[in-house]
Amino acid sequence: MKKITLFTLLILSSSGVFAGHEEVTLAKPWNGYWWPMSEGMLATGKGYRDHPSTTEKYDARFNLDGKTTHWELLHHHKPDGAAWNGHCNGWSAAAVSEAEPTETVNSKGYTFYVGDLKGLWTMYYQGATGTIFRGTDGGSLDPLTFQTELQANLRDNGIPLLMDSDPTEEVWTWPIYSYTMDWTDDGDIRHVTLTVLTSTDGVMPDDVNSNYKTFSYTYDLTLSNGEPISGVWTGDSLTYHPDFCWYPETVIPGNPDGNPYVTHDNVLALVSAGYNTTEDDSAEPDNSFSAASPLPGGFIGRILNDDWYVFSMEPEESFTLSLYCNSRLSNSSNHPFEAELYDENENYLEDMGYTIYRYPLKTFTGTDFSRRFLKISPENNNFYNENYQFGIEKAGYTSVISHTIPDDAYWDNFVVAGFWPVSDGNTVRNDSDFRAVGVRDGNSFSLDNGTETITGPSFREIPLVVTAKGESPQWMKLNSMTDNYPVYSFYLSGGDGSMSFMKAENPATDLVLSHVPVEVDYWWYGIVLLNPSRFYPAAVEATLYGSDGTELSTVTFHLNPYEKKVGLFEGFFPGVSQADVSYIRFQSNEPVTASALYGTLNHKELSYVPAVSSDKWVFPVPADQVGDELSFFIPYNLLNDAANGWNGVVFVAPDDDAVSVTLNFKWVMDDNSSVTSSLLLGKHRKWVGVLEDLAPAGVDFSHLVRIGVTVRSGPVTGFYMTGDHSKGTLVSFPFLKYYQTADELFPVIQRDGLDTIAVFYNQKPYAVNELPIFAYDVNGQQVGDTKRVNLNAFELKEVNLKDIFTADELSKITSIELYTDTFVIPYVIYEDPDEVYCEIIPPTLAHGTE
Amino acid sequence: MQLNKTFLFLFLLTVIVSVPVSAKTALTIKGKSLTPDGTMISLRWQVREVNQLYRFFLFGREKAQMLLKNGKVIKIRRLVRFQGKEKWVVLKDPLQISVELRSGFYPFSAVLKYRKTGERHTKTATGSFELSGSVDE
Repeated sequence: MKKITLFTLLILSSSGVFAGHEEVTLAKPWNGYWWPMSEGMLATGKGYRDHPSTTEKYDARFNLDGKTTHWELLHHHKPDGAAWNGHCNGWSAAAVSEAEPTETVNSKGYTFYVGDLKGLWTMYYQGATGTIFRGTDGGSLDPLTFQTELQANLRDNGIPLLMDSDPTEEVWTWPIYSYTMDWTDDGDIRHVTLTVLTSTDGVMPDDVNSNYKTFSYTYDLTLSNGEPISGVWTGDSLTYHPDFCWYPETVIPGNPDGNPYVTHDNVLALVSAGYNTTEDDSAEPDNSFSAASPLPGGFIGRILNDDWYVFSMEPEESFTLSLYCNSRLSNSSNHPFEAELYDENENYLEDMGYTIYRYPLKTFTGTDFSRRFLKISPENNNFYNENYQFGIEKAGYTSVISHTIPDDAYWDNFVVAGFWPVSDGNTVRNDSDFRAVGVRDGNSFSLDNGTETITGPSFREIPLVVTAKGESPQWMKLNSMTDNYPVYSFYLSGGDGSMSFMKAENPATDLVLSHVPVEVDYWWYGIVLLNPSRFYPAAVEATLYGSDGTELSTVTFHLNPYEKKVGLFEGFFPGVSQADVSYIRFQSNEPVTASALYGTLNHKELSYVPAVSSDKWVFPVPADQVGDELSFFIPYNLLNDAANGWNGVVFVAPDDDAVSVTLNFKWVMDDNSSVTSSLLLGKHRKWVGVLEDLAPAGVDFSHLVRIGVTVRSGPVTGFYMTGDHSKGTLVSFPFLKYYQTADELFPVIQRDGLDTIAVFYNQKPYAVNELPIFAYDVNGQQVGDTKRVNLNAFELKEVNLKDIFTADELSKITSIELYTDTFVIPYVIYEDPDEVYCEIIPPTLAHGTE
Repeated sequence: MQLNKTFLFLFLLTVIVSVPVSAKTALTIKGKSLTPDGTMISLRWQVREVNQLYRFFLFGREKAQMLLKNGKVIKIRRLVRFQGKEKWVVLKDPLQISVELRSGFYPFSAVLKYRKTGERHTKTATGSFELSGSVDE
């Protein structure tokens, strides 16, 4: 529909005062919702049609691995942001540039409503830009420029003009499609009244209507020879007038304001699609009970044919399965589809679909390993064009060890899991239940004989059972409805002697492996990547950075639910020279774990370094905080063997938005003297080396105790690494945040000749007395008396448990609790008298006070 | 004699300055432009000129034209998208042209300044431009 009305009238009155009238009206650009960023509803669906959301359907339709949704959630979902922040500029630009979507469409089985289509155009044009017309001084818009552009666009070229109606920092964009201008000339001054009509975003996303908004302004123009040369706002318009006006000239690739995954071609393909089609994509099951597909979290299917899914339940876990459908109305008895549950023998169990909720949902709590089958089928075929989607929300806790090798020829692998009856809020609990689960080739099985209960602080060994089928776990986890368990997996090589461990990790979506070592023939460097979800597939994008901070390449790994990928660097990144790579960043649509493994070919050394998630990066201290040692500290010489020990550190500047990293160091000696230095790292750069290379002149390493660090610009991530040449030990140690007290529970290992040595490292220039050591048996009951340790200033004290407990007591002990004071680091060393094995377990600092 | 030297210098200067005012010109212009979201974005323009018709290319596509007559801008055309189709927006009104030249998206003013003075840097209210690359005869 094209509509242009142009009307101009000039009047010369008897008094000699000129008056004029001009009005122009074009076809109205379409109304659309402004998609506030506080809601993020294009990605979350909340407030619109819930799941599947607009971007979830778009991702599925174009096989984008959830990238559109992830980007939108990351950049345009700001629950705590300014209330006015939204997509009004994207909507306005879309409304003038594209024809209005007015019908629901179905494209390859995915249904997009009018609001979806308008929302996608809005997302695309959120990255639009063009000439920004402001005042002559670059400030807020002056009336002559505004009038000039109104006439240039509407009157002379028949296109609308976009304006930001708010002169403050807030931006409210509207497409002007009509104006009416009346004026009278009084000498060289022209008094003007201007009324503009705009399309409106005060509508619901699916609305197609003719609503509009009206804005009125007054201003005076100064004339020269009858022509306006400048203008000033008058009346109420002095304080409320347009801030700037523009027209979308282009959408810039790489514009940070626009979602890069929403393209013009894709949206055009959707709006051009039809309806009432029977096509679907190849992912649609259309199957039977015997051919049931694994139930994928987030999957979007079509209600057209019967679809069968199968999913397993594990003991000591709980999850809620929700079935979403865009068209389901709250409290409606009109169901869009049937959803029936069956057991493994195809016996009907119950119906999930007939509930009073908008979306059918059911919570499953596993008591043992079992399977359920779900059948989705159309009901009366009224909704055959519609989509359904699975949403799975897990309850309870899962602790993951991402790499187990129980049947390896070289390595002896054993696992211990501990219950620490103190929650993060320091609430003491009485007992906890858990089940140990092994996973191989995506299938889970029991590693124990049933639910185990622990009633106090204790570690106990988890058997890595080789099943009757000859299977052993490729990775393992602990399920618990109540507690997050510290779990350690130990690896021992008896050949040339080596010991290492892996600690249960927290899966995350943004992880950095801070160091890729240069290739040395004697060493190997491997990676473990795991998707610990049983329901959601993960698309992991690995970005490799070079030593100069440039992105060398990006590789995407698709991990099915429960899939682990492990191998050498060259297996992960064929064709990439390891020597060129500085560090790796993993970004995933679903939480995953990533770890690095370092080893020598003779099994003399092995170490595991977990990737650090972005929420653990150390951010700069506020500029107004003065002083030293404000961010974290690095202890020195933890093995207490300066002659053969070595200490290294890795710092990385991982943040795309940070210009650089500035670190101020305070090198503290055991006479409490200190030397300061600093380090500047460019964006995406890394510093790696032994501490001798980082230290300034004046540092006496024979007396060095710690390095206090203050992050002045950043953030920064990395790790500290220490080892002993004579013992073949190499262990990574996290940067330690500052704390008031530390309360740590460590496993006690009594096998392969290992002694457990409790260590207190006093970093303070004065003595500390009476630090307690508590010992517990397998049931969490204290064994023997509480032992006390006194420390001199800066003393590192090793306490071998066999020296303070009797042999009878020692045989019962499975864990020790070390309670320390500020700047006293608790950790344990496992070592055998022959020094074949040696390993350090750092503190978690998860309990105590900061 | 002194007068002749001055005259010769001015003559040479005129020749040098007028080099860009050639029958064919190809320029590369790096621009930084304000977006509606308030951020600055980098753009790279290619400009070709034949007989005082300057054609502006962005990402390989022609986006605008500027026509001069006797060194004065008499018409500007911009290619926009409107209701699902492309459309040329034409500016002939001197006031509209002057407002457009002040803007920081299209490098019209940068070309004019370079043409007039040979200067390669131009700053506007909502952007800035830097000319680089070659000027072909």
